[in-house]
Amino acid sequence: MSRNSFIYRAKQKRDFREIAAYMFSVLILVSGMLFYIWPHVRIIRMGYEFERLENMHQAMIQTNKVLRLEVASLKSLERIERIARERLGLTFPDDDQIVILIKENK
Amino acid sequence: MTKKDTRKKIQIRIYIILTFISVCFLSLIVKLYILQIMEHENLLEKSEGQIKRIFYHRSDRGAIYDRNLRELAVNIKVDSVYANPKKIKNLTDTARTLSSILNIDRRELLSRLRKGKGFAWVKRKIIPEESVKVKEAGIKGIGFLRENKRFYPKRELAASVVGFVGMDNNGLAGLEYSYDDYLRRDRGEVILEKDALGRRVNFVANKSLFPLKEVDIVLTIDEVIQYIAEEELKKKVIETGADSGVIIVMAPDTGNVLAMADYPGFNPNSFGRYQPFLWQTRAVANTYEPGSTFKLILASAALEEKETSSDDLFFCENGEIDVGGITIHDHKSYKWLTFKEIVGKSSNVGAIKIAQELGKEKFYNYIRGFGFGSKTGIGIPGEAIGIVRDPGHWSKVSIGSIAIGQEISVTPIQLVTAVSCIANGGLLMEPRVVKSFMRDGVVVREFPPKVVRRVVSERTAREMTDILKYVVEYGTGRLAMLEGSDVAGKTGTAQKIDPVSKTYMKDKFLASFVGYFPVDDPKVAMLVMIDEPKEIFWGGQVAAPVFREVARRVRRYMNIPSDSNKIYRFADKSLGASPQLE
Repeated sequence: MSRNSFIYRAKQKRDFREIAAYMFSVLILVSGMLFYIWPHVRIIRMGYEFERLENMHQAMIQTNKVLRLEVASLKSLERIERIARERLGLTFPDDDQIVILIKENK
Repeated sequence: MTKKDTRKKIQIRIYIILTFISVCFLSLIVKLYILQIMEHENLLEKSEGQIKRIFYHRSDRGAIYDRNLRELAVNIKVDSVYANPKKIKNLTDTARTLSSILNIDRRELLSRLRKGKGFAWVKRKIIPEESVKVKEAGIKGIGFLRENKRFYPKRELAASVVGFVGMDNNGLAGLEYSYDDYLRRDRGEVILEKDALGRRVNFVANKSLFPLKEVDIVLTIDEVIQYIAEEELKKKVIETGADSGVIIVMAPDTGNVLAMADYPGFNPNSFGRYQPFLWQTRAVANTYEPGSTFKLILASAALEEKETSSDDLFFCENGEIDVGGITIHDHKSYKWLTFKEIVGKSSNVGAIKIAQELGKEKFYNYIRGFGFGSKTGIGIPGEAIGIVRDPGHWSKVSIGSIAIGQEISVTPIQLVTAVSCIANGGLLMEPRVVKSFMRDGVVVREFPPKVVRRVVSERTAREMTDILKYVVEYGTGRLAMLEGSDVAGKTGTAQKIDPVSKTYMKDKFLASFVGYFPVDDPKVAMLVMIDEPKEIFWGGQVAAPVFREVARRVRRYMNIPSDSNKIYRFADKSLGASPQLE
C-alpha cells in the first residue's frame, strides 16, 4: 500500500509539472501573439480616432464658414447704412466735424 | 480478443487518423500553393480592391476677398438631393411631396424619376431649411450628397467684376472665369485602407500625396468705395432715366482699381434670373465714343510735342469749322480762346485746330501711347480693345473727328487709365484688379504695380493738371468742384450713333466726366459715364455731380484731408506724444 501510494504521488507530481510546462508554453505563445497583434490593434484604433477627429474638424470648418458667411451678409454696407439712418437716426458728419489722424514716422 | 489483436486494432486506428490528418494537411498545402503561388496576383488584386479605397480629395473653390479681406465670394457645403427610383414605392406621391418642399416642377421631377434607373438628381445645392424638411419627410429611396455651393454675401456688390460660377463650381463670368484655374484645383486621389464598414483605418502622414490646395484671391477693389460708387451711380441713372452707367475709381500711382461699378447690375447668387447682357463687365467690355473727354489726350500730346503752350491763342471761327467738307460746330460761338480755355470750355473748333497743328501721325502715336487700341491687361474676361484706326485709313475729316472724341471708340478702363497717367506724372500704369493670391491666410503671390511706359513728361502732366483744374473751376466741369479739395477733370457729351442709319442721333448721348483729386497729390482718379440720360444730357451736368458726390464720400473714407478737416498729427510711438492740431 505504501509503495503504491508513493508511486501514485510521484505520478501526480510528474503530471502537475507537465501541465504546468504546457500551460507556461501556451502562456508564452499567447503573450507573444498578443505582443505582436497589440500595435496593429492600436494603429487601427488610432486610425478610427483620427478619422473621427478629422470629421469633427471638417464639421467645425463648415460651421465656421457658415458663420463667416452670415457675418459677411450681416455686414453688408447697404444694411448697416439703412439701420444707422432709419433705426438709429444717424447721419454722415460734416467735413468740419471730422478730425483726421495722421501718424508721423519720426 | 487477445492483447495482440487489441494493439493491432489501435495501430490501425492510429494509421487511419494519421492518414486523415496527412490528407488534410496535404490538401491545405495544395490549397495554399494555389492561393499563394498560382492565384497570387489575382487574389492580391482582389484583396486590395476590397480593403483599399480611393478617397477623392475634392478641393474647395478659393474665396475672393476685397483689399481689406472682406468676403466677396465664399464656399460652403450644402446638401444635394438624389433619388433611387427603384427603392421608391410610389413615384407620384414622392414627386408631389418633394416638389412642394423643394419648389420644383412636379411633372418634370416625376418624368426624371421614371427615366432614372438607379440614380436621379432631385435638386442640387438646396438651402438648409429645405434639407431639414426633406429629411423630416423620411421618404425611402431619397438620399443626400454634400456639395460645395458658391455664395456671394454682398450680392450685387462688384458682381460684374467678381462674376459667378455654374452648378459644378466652374467659373462662368468675371474673375471667377478668368482665374478659374487658380481658384479651383483638380481633385486628387488618395488610396487609403478601409474596414468592412468602409471606414478609414489608417491615415496618410505624407500630406504631399494630397493635391496642392486652391488659392484665395485678394482684389484691389475696396468694398466701401465700391458701395459708394454703386449707390451714387444707381441714384443718378434712376434720376436721369438713363439706360445704364459705369464708374471706375482708380489709384493713379499704382493702377489699382478701387471700384468698378456697373448699373444696372445683377445678383450673382441667382444670375439666371437676369438678362445675359447684364453679366458683362461693361467697364472693360463695352466701347464708346468718348467725346470731349478725349480732348485731354489731344492736349497732352500737343503740350508734350511743344506744338503749343497753355496760353497760346487760337481763333475759334465763331463756333464753326469746315473739315474735309464737313462742318463741325461748337456748343457756343467762340472767337479767340487760349489753349487752356479751349480745353476748359470744351471748344470743338479749337481742339480741331490744335489737332491739325499736331498732325495725324503724332496724334495717333499718343493715342496708342496712352493705351487706346490695345488691351490694358486687367485680366477681366471680355476686355475690348476699342477702335483706333491707323492714320493710313483716316479720311480728311478724321483728324477733326478724333480730336473731339468721335470716329474712335474706347473702353471706360482705357480712359480712366489714361487720365491716371496724367495724374501720376506721366506714367501709364497697367490697371490691376487682383492684388495677391493667398493660401491658408498666407500671401503666396503678389501682383506689384506695373509701369507700362512713360507717355508724357512730368512737366506736361503738371501743365495738364493746371488745365484740367481750370476746367473744373471755370469751365464745363464746375459741378465736379469739391469743397475743400482741388479737382482736375474733363467733361464729355458724346452723341451716340444710330446702329441702323450709322449717323449721330440728336437725342441720345453719353454723358461723362473723368478726373482726379486732390491735385497736389492725386489719390483717386475716377471716370463717370451715364449712358443715354433723358432731358439733361451734358456731361458737366449729369456726370460731374456724381464725380463730386463719390469723391466727397471717398475722401472721407480714405482720410484724404480737405481744407475744412481738422488734422491731428501724432508721433509714431504713442498717440499723446506730441499732439499738434492744425
